[in-house]
Amino acid sequence: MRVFSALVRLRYKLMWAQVRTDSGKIALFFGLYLLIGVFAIFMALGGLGGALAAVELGRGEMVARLMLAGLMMNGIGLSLLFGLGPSEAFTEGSLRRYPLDSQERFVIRHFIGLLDPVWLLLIAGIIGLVFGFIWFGGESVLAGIPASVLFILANYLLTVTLLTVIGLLMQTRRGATLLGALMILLLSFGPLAISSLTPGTRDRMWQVVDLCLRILPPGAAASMITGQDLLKVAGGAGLLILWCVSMFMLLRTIEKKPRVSEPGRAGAIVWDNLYDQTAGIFGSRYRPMVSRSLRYHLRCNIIRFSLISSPLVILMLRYLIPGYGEKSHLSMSIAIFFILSSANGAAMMLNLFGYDGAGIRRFAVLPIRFADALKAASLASLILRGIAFLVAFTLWVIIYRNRSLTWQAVLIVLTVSVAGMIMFNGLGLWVSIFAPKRGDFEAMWNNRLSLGANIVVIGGAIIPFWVMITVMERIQPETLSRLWWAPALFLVLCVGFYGFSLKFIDIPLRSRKEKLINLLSGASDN
Amino acid sequence: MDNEMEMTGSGGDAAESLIPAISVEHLTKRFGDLTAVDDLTLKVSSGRLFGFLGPNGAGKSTTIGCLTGLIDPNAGSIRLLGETFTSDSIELKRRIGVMPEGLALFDHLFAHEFLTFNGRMYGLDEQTLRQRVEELLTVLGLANAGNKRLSEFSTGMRKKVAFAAAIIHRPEILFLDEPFESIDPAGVAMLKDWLRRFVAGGRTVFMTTHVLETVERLCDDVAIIKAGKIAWLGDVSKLASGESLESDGSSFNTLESLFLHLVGERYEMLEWL
Ligand SMILES: Nc1ncnc2c1ncn2[C@@H]1O[C@H](COP(=O)(O)OP(=O)(O)OP(=O)(O)O)[C@@H](O)[C@H]1O
Ligand SMILES: [Mg+2]
Repeated sequence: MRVFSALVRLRYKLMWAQVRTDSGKIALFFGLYLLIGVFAIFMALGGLGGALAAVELGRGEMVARLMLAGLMMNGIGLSLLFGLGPSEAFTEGSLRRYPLDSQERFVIRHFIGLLDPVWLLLIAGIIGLVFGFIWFGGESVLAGIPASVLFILANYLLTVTLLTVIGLLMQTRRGATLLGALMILLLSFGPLAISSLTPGTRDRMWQVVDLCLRILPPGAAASMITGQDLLKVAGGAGLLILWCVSMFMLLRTIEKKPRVSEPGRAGAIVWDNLYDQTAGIFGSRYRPMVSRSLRYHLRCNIIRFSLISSPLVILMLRYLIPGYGEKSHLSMSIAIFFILSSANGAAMMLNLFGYDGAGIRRFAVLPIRFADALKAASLASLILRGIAFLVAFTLWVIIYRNRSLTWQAVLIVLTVSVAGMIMFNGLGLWVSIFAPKRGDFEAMWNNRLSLGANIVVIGGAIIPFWVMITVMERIQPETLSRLWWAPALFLVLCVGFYGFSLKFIDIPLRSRKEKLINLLSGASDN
Repeated sequence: MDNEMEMTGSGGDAAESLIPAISVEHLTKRFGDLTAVDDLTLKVSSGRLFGFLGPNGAGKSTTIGCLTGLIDPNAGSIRLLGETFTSDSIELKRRIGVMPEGLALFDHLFAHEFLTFNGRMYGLDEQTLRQRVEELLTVLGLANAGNKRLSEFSTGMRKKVAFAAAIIHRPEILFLDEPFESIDPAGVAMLKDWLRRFVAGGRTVFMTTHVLETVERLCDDVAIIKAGKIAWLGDVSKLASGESLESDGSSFNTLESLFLHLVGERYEMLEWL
């Protein structure tokens, strides 16, 4: 127990040490915490509001189930797409140094993971919901509090297990291909299948979904919170405990499995492969660096996954946005593609040196300007992000081909996406040197973005939504189509910004070089 | 042309016909309050194997970092091959080879990918590059490790890869930070022979190591530093001909006795061990 509390303290000390380096960052640190606090209150209030509505509608359990399911999906989605999920503060390797057995190490890693600030947001939402039911619905405190604790635990374990399984799959080329194929299938046929259902079958499908939800943690927690009789409460509790225990066992088994590493290609060396040829478009000076960066980063689980999964965002258009309809198709598509341009490949784009490890020192020794290495990585990330975008764009065109889209509309989406991609690549240069973070090449579910990078990604997701909802929704789609030249202006601006960043990143990089090298190649564990 | 190396300021009237390969003046590097390299001045003539010794934390790696562009010094000047060197000297960097502290490998590349990358960065033409990569991997015994990434290499194998990357472009000066530690005896013997051949061609090696026997048998000149300052500087090749090394008026028959004398020969026993 003493070791445990010492480690919790160490975790926060490390976080503090990371931002302490200069005084401006202290302000940022506190600012962000305040922001998270405010968000947490919002989430809690949202939960309260949901509970109030549910009580008034008299359909408490169903609303609770859906809201909890929403929170759970949010947790999984955030972790998968943006890397905001539960963070492993200590790696297994670093904990092995302490006198702890494997059981204790497991608990420490995950308990401290649960204490991560971003994950606390979801917890706030859940607690808000439960207290809403207790206050407005007069539900029992005795059931509500254990229900929320169990749900948080089950939710956490489920998310982590899922991410670990995906990570395991991503480690081999075959697994990654399988996962990619699965996603593309889901993306291209899922929506088509659902939209071609008759109302009757749709109802039956809804019943199936509802049934599934009942068995999943949200349903169990909902019946525990709103249950009128002891049997229902106990049933919900039993189900939640079952989830926790089974996920716990599963996670332990998976984690015990040794890491399989990609079987390499022995034998003949390929001297001039696709990476080299692709990199050739940037001229001979950048060719070896861009090609290395492409090859290297595509071997990184997090980056591969981010690139493969980002087209999933297109699905959000239909299923995750309330009130989505014909009228808002264009404006919502613009918003979604803009978000895609900030999130797709973000782990690399916003942390260009973060996965190079000690290799970053080599850039200082090679006969190049140090900034050239950063630029090369940025160009490589642009290529990879561009390919992921093309996949998403093609899917968008195919899936929504029966929406009457004018060529101006398609052009607008295209221009906004390309502009966004270029703009975020420009931002990525600055974030990479001012808010770098040592990445773990193999881990799937570490919170892999720095504070600064999180701000960019979250901002990239919130701002376009805000703009689209408050401004664009008031403009008719026809008017929007007539404004097709406006994104072109935006594109010019973004290209200018990227060009400016490439040209002038030298200056701040010069004074940050040693800091970057120490931080990213150092022997620190976090 | 034997010992060209000397402290500057102590009578610089010797024949300066040969430009020293490395010339450092008043080099200083501070990390916060700590002065890791303290007003260091030294010269290394071309064609010499220079051993840079000192206890842990003396400032050896920091000095190599400054000499290779990894670290920007706070004060002092560096000249390599007769030209002023800063971390921006791209042309000069092309002419030196470095095995930095920590090796600076890209862990998730295969050995041949890593060497190819390095060769291309130094502008080797494709044919030479391919030939050298294959040859280096074969002679270093790494050709069969083709299906392993560098992260899965053993410590000694990683060191060999870093060594190969440092020499692949046939540099004029080679900076090696602890090149032999953790390489097997056969490998060490081979690398030593390579280095002898390398300097025989008029090129220069600047290396740190903790293995004093190696230094005695391999190096021409040695500097011992302590807390960032030079404590001793001289020619050790004369040990082979039976001469002894002088310091503070006393003479030493081995480098080890000199080292212990300079750095402190006192050591304690742990009663509880
Ligand atoms: N990035 C850094 N930040 C702060 N201090 C540093 C840094 N790098 C080195 N130092 C300090 O500078 C001093 C010299 O370190 P250096 O690595 O040059 O020693 P060394 O002679 O190479 O030692 P060793 O034989 O152990 O390799 C040490 O006290 C070390 O703690
Ligand atoms: Mg050292």
